[in-house]
Amino acid sequence: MISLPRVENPMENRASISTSSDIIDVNWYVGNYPFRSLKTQPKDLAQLRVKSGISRAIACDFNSLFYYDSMDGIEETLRRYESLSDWLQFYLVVNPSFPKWEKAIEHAAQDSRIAAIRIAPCLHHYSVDAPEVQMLIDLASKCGIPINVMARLFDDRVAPQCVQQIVPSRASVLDFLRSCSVEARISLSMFYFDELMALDIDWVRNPNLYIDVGCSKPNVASLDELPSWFPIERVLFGTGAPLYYWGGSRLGLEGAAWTVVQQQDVLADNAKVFFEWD
Amino acid sequence: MGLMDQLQRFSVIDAHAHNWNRFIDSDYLRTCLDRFDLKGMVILSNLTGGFDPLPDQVHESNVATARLRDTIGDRIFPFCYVNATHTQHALEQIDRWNSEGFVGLKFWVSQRATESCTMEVTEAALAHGWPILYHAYYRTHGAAPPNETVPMDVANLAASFPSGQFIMAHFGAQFEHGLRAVEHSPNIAVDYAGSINERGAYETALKILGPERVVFGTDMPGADFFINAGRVLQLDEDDQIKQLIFSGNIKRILRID
Repeated sequence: MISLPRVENPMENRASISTSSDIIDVNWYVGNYPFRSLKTQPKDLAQLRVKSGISRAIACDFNSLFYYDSMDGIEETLRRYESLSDWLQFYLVVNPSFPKWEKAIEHAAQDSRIAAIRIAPCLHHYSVDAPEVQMLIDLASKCGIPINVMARLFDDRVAPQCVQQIVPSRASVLDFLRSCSVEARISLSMFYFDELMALDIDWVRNPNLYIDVGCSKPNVASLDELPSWFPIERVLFGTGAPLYYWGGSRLGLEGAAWTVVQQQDVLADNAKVFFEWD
Repeated sequence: MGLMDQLQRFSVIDAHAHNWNRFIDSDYLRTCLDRFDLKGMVILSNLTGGFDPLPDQVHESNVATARLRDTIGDRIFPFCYVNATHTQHALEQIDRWNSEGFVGLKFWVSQRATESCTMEVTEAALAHGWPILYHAYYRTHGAAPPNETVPMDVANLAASFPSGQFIMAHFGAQFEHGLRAVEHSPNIAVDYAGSINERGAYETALKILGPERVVFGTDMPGADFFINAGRVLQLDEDDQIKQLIFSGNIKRILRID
């Protein structure tokens, strides 16, 4: 038999962030997922909200992501989740390589149920540095609505075999970020730490550029070291729930070697600034 | 109660970690063990030599593991790393490191589980009472290492040694297929160590394998401790089952008091 040594518990004095704290999850996935059963009925999401202790969520719905007409898709979703509208808002996924995307942007800017535009070049197969993407960014910025860029939906290694997910190249992401005006509010979701850290960009000089670190595959030190290379006041918290485990992303932030103030900023306050909520 | 408070209720052993990258630094590793309040950590290899390591590189990895155990102490549970295609060397490594107190065998991606050399090396490790931890992946996209084994191969290997104990790593990556491949292999436990984070993985493992066949691992330093632990805490299961996952099952497998 092997005997375990006795050691003191160093976490004894480390309090959890109160579950009553204001927490905003900026990356939920809701609706009908084609590849396995997900609990995303309104009652399921209400329970998830309570269990995960969040105050509000921004969701990407699979209709908006997968429908030929994303406007039809989001309308269906908005009706489905109308009872949750006091705390659940949505990304409208827009594909700028198809007609009438301008109308979608203008509509989103007028609809308080839509918090931001999301683009998904990984699944819609256009380059993130294409001219039409820049036009989209410019119009969204002019309309005052933020933009989220999703690097991927699936883990690259286990995406469904019928799905061809093409993660934007480092060069195209760099071109994209460098060509965006500083006024454009942009967040990056589902990028991995290795990918973000490899971008040769001056993060400090892009005051409206945010990153969501919930589904970012940190190594043992990534979250601890994040404040050393990225302004913590522009880090957002998104878990990918209920498609992905929320508990890991949440505990990852609680366990990171950050101050309590930094943690609270990431869990909620930064999102309020990004989405321009009071 | 927050997740950090919940975590403190459990005794945790990491059944899947490596001594590469940041964990080459034994001081940093010791700090992590203390900070995460880990009662123990299985060290598998430092991955020297890549997908097909030469005998010298395998030996170097095991020397590094032994050095780490000697430096850190009893919280390190050292596993012997081998490349079974260098069969004679692998057999020698097993004997050598068994005499040095190693407690298990690690196969990575240098041999398929169905190869005759793997069978021979497995038999030698099991003769010492060691469990066999095998990396296995159903990888749906991207280039796989040439000899990466798949979960069904591990099921076949375990069927050949019904009294031996096996651990299939990562739930086989694509968890629905990986877990179903080993469903009827009672001598295979599984871990979900690493950065694949799909909800439903632990729930499916508990449902089809039962709570005594699921062990907790992280794949540190390449992955984050808290992110791996938070998945278990999130489960709609009672503390008794979570404790089995966090350390009860690996204690039984390694015969830890």
